[in-house]
Amino acid sequence: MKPDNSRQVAYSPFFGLLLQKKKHFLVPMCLIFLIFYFSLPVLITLKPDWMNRPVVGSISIAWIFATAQCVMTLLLSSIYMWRAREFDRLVQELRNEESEEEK
Amino acid sequence: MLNIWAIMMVILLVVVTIGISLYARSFNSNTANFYLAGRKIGFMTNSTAICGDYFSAASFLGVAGAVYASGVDGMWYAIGFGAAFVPVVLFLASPLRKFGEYTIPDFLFARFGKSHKARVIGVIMVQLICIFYLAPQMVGAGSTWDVLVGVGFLGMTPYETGVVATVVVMMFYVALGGMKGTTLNQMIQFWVLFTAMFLVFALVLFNGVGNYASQNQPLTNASTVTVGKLMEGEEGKRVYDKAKATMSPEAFAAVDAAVQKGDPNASVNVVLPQANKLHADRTMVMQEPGHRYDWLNQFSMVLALVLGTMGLPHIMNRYYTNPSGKVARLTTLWVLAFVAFFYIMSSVVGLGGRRFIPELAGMDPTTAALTVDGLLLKSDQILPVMGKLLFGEFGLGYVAAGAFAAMFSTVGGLLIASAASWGHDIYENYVNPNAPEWKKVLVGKVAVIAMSLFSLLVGLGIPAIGLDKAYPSLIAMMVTWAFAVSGGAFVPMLLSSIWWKKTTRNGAIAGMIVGGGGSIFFIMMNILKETGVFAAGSFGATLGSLTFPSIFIVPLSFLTIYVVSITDKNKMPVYVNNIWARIHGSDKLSERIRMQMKEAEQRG
Repeated sequence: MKPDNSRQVAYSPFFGLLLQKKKHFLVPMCLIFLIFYFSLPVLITLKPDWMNRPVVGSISIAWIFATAQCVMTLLLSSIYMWRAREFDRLVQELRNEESEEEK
Repeated sequence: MLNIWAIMMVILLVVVTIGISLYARSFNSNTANFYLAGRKIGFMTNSTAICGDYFSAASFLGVAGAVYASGVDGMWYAIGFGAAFVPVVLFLASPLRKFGEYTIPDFLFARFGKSHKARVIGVIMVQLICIFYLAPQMVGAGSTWDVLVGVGFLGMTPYETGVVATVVVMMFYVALGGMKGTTLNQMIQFWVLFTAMFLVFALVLFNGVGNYASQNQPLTNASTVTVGKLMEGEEGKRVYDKAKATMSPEAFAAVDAAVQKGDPNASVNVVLPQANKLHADRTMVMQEPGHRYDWLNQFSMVLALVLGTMGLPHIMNRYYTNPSGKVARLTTLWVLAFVAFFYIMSSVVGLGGRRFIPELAGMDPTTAALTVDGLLLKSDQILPVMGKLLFGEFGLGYVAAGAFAAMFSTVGGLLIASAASWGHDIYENYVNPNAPEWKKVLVGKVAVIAMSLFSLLVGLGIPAIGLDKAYPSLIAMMVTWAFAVSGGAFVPMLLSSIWWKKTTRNGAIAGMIVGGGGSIFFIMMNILKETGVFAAGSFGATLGSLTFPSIFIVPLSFLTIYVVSITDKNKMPVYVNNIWARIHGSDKLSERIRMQMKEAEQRG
């Protein structure tokens, strides 16, 4: 067991690539979330008439938007779960490569 | 209103709870089992337990009540509590679990190169958040008892009886059952409260929600005022005239009768149209937000709700009990599904209340006593009232059991989190590191008892200082404060120490102090202003003008972390790359590096 082995892991280009991939995925996800979430208070402050317009029967846009937030929560999290499996596979590949180097 | 069904079902719940704790007692031989249930909890158990932690009495009773009273505005809690899991999933859940420590203070210790200072400050923040979150649960316990049981024992008021009874039951069963017992209990308590909500929801849907929301009439709510206040001002513009225009002639007859008697201090129940705080020139209707807050406070509250969950110690501790990443992800998905469904059910019940309570209240004298002209005086009572109107005494009993289940499960989770922090972070590291296992478990139990007694004092003290009179919907307010404190104290710190390698120990400490301390300071200023200690227009009142400080404090905390970290660049921990691999690697990689670091440490 080499104690410095783990320090190399973090420096290896593969690990850097993995972190970069993660960030490329997380940053847009986070932005979508923040924009969608905060557009509700922004719209009701700035466009109350528009938010009050009935769309389905007599239900206004505000209600639909509010319910859509719950759907968005589920959707974004499902996308994350799906991508997280891929990241785990990448780390697995990293480990395989590393053990070949050790031989 | 003494109700036999309600009392029987609550007693049944208590008996089952204590039975489970007795059963789980044998698992608490060491601290890993006492605090984390041996890390061997399946995803279904864990996700229902997280939901049990999350759905407090405030969300069980409060969300439906908020939608009933304010319409779309009330949806904020439902949306915020649900959406809050997105940042948890994206940024925290998996890194924290992989890092493989017990608690948030442990994380601080290991992340910042074995910093004792960071850990101790973390413990202080955990305890403060627990107290802030326990306080509204105590108020919930007292007022739920007041509504559902309505009798006081041993010379106490019903409110005090509720607080004392809840604390005694909690203290006994959490100290006895540890994390395993609490988790099993939370699972059962979750199903009790979830099915109770589902029962009322299904009955509302079956009978039709009604079309109150779409009528676009001015939003009206019932309240209690004194005759003196009612008749104040010039004729035509008095509260009296507004009430006369709003209420039905039969209901208004009672108000008129009180006015005729002429006692200015007598109180009367009136129904009044509500003001729009967001757009003062618009009429307030059910379809439109703006009943509760102006835009600044609204933004601040929305921010506190979405960030606060990330820093709640009892929710985050749950993620450490997942054995693998796959289980952690499944857990989160189930939690989200339950949370979304639960809050949608609450909102539908709230809407249905606007139809059923005016229609049915007249047939039931005990319910009629709680209403004025078909509107509830206390909107938080909507769930038990709906249970009773639609399903009779049994419905009321079921909802009562659900409300107490919600309270028990949240308080239980908080007590365990708080005890884990005292016992594990402080006692095992600083007071007596060589203590035998039985002694460590004993300390955990003592911590549970101490914390319960402290929350008892807080629960009894809140009405004594007049907080319940200063804030109309106190429980929801206090829960949001707890979210504001946890969001300020831990969210900037956790996000930057997980995603920004250059965060230093001093940066994290400064961020926690500014975020947590700052939030508490401004909340205290607001309390002092609302209870009338600060005169209107004074400097103190200006400081306390914001109900929720998150909108300033969270960015300020991030900024503090950034500035402090770049000014002492050289203080990054030596093994920061190893730490990074532990946080962002896969399960096996993180585990291997953790072992390597441990070995290297033992070799010196």
